[in-house]
Amino acid sequence: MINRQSDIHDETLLHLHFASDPESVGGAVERTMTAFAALQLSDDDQSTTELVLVEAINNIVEHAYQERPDGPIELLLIRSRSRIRCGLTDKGVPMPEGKPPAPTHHNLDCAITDLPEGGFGWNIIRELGQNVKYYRQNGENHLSFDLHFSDLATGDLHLPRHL
Amino acid sequence: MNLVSEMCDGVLIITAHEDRINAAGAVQFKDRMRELTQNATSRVLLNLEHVNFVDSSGLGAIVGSLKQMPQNATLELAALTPAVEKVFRLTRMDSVFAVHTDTATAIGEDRQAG
Repeated sequence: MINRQSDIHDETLLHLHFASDPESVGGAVERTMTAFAALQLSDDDQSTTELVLVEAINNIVEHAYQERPDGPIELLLIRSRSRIRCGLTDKGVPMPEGKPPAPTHHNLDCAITDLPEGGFGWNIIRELGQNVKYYRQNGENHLSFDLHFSDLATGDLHLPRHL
Repeated sequence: MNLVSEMCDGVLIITAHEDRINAAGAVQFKDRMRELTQNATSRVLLNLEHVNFVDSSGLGAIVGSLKQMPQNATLELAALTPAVEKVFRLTRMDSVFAVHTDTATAIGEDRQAG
């Protein structure tokens, strides 16, 4: 279970449970983007949100569950003033050394055949998300990060609490 | 993976008729690109105007497509949508590829050069 924070401004935007198979993951991302569409973010913020979430969920599918299709994933999005706190929980294998991979600075000034074809996901999460946290508890991985949107500061939310 | 190729003024243009290039289709994308470019001898232009989302796996597949190009052939990109452009910028892959505003501009540059 994802820890909820206790700020009076907190409001649950979305709370989903889904499996680690491609179809369920795709459906979860789609539902998430529908929920975000109601916040009327700019196209740029909307695509940022989608990218960070997809990268974080892909990491769970590929690394925590190692492509196993039946692993449970929990996604909780909490709106708190001008930020959305995103929490993801899974029951897969822990991150190596108990922490997210360190930021990598790919050397792109190399022969074309030496260019990296992977390892971009965590850089994208760190670049676009703030306050990235990870811990392991009771056999579960807990990952959370914030997305800040200036447009959210004054906007009103009229969403059902549980979609 | 719907990739359509055509020759235009000596440039092989490959247009991706896909909304997304992501983890689900990355391997297929790279395989299809290999089929389409294996006999290429000069410029290959990947037209991404219809692609609205590329994740890190999709990006890896596009880089992989560059790496598997035959000798003397180059892979360039055209018509990146804003979200796709952002992924290339964040990962600095926009410094690895020649990126053109659209296919017409890319072909025009070739005419001026040659």
